[in-house]
Amino acid sequence: MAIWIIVTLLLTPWLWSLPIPKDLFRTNFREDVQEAKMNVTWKRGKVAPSDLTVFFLNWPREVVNQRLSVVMENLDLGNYFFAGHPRERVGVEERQKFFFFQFVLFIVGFASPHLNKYKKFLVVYSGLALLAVFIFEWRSFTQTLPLAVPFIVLMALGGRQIMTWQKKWRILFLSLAFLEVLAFGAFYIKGALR
Amino acid sequence: MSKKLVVALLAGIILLGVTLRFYRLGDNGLGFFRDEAALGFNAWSLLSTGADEYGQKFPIIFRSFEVFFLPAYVYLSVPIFFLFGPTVIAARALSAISGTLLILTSFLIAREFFKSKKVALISALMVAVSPWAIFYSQGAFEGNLALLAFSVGIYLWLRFTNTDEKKYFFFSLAFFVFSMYSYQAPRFVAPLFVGVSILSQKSWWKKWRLWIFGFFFALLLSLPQLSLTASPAGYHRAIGVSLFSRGETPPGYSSQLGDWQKLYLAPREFLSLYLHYFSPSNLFWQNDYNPQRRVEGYSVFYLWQLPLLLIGVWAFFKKKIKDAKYFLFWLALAPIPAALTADPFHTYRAILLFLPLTLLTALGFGQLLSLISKMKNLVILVSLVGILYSVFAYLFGLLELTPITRWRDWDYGYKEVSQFIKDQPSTLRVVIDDPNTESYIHLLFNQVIPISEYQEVASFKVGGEYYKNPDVLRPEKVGRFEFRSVDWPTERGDKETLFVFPSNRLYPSEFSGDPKLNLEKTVYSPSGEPAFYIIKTISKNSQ
Repeated sequence: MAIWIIVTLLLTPWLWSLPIPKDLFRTNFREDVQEAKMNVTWKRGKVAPSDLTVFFLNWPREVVNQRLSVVMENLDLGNYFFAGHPRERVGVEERQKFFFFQFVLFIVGFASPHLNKYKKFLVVYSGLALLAVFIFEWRSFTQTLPLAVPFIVLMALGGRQIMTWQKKWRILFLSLAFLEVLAFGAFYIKGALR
Repeated sequence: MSKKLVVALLAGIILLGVTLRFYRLGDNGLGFFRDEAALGFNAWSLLSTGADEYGQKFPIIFRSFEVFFLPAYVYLSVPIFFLFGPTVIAARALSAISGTLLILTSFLIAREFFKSKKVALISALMVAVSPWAIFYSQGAFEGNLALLAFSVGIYLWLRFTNTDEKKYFFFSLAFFVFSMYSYQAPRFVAPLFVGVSILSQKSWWKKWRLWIFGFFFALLLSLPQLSLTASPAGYHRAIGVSLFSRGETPPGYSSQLGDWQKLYLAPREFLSLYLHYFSPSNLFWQNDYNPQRRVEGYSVFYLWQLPLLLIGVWAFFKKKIKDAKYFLFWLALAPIPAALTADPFHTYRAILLFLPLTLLTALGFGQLLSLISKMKNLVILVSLVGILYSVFAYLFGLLELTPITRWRDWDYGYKEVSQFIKDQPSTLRVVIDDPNTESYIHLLFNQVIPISEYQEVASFKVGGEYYKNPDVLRPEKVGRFEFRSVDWPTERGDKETLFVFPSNRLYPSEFSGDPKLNLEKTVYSPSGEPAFYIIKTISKNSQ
């Protein structure tokens, strides 16, 4: 399994630029509360006065929603596998983190018979990572790096599984993967040279 | 669970669904969008004159503002307009009825798929309170009718595969074809679903006679629509929004690398768009990219449905569900039409997807109840309180907050503008500042412009090109009414004219203080901002 993890790590574009996470554990809770209170005041000023407003429009809800939106953003698989798509509307940083063929590995990883061994780790780690995202609002390319771990493990399991496929399917998959790396490499090297 | 109890609970859930769908149906505070007005007006026009806005007698495909739309919603709305007249309620009623019947259909489908009355009841409840289902039932959306027809088709298909009775096969085909007369997405999904479902059956070729009969039966039902397939009316809408027909290059395209890269980038973009429809971020948080289809603070599902969906997916693969493959075909095919268009997350084009996802959340909830059977009653109680809170909070978002932020996207204010124009002398020239020239439909719907007068001018303009030419073929001037962009500096001197300006098209400083202009009325939006300025130029006599 260690070999598969190393291979996956080497093939992951996310790590090619050697990202170093910054400001991982910084929170702006007071600022968030302040902003949420202002938003609520503005919204309440617009709706007809009602006793119910307080239940549906309050600052704790606003603060939680703000943080949940970051969690949701990190749950979007497209963020990891497809850069360049119009996600600017939510201000998501557009940089490819994994190849598309790794998405296939990721899915196949779920069907791996070896998954049971890593299930607890994956569930607990993912839960903690998402909790950290909720608290510290990680959203940048480098900040979200800790979230790569479950992906890498599942992809490694997927890679291992694919090697058990029939030869023709294996060759087809590897050829497509190679072509994707080649195509991406052309963009990447061009960009790096620039 | 006894049959009586199931029926009583289902009736209660449907009643809840009816309340949520029909509550403030005619005036939900948002406004009345031009597409709704187009559907409604054409139904009213058919009823009153036997022809649509262009004077076309009983069209197979309708056209409004260069958009061709399928006819089922309009024709089925005719009896409703007969009962209620040209009202907003009449325009939206069919969608609300479809949304209500979908609750019952979801119960039947869930019972067929999961063989559990409990999960079937939860499915009905989930659909009844679901944000996407309420939203699309509260407006005139023909896609909601298509979803109902498609879902009934699925149910009948399951009955066919479970009982092997041929009548279900033909009924199922009839509903699938009907869904193709209602909205564009099923025109792609329904034939694929049937085709793949047939081919996935063991020794499918042994029933070749049935498939051939079915093919000709569906062909016969589709003939009117097929007769227009080769004309722009048949394909323009689908081709016009397609990912592959747009002029721009796919994201990531580098002009220095040549066109070969499209082979890599175009499929990647399609897959990216396809995955968007399964993204928790979109489904539970962000919502549609189009502001008109957004409800403040809500997406297509409630956030608490996310863990239920995950449990549902797990349970789906864990349980040996007999008809699982049909469910997976539905789930996999439904977002394809939406993903083939260039828009990031289009909830309307993907409307067929949300029912299977809702069924999965219901399965998840049912599974959760089984897992914690000791605390079942407590979980049910807490869940009901939570659902009730969610529904009220959603209604608050939909009916109180969204009108404040989205009124412009819903064409708010045309009703008031129309009423004002009606109260003016019938000789007064009226110019509506509208670069899209689409506001005419509101004036038609609100009975400001006489139908026959509009039909006469529009039919002359469109000539024999109704189905053939997708260009702008509608009048900008009908009698004393004009719908176009106003060149204010040159036209402000026109005598005895009523100008209607959306507030974002004219600053108050451009008309205030001029003695030759009179601000007759300001129509205010739900946020308190002006929505329209109605300005009258002073007549010769008063000068």
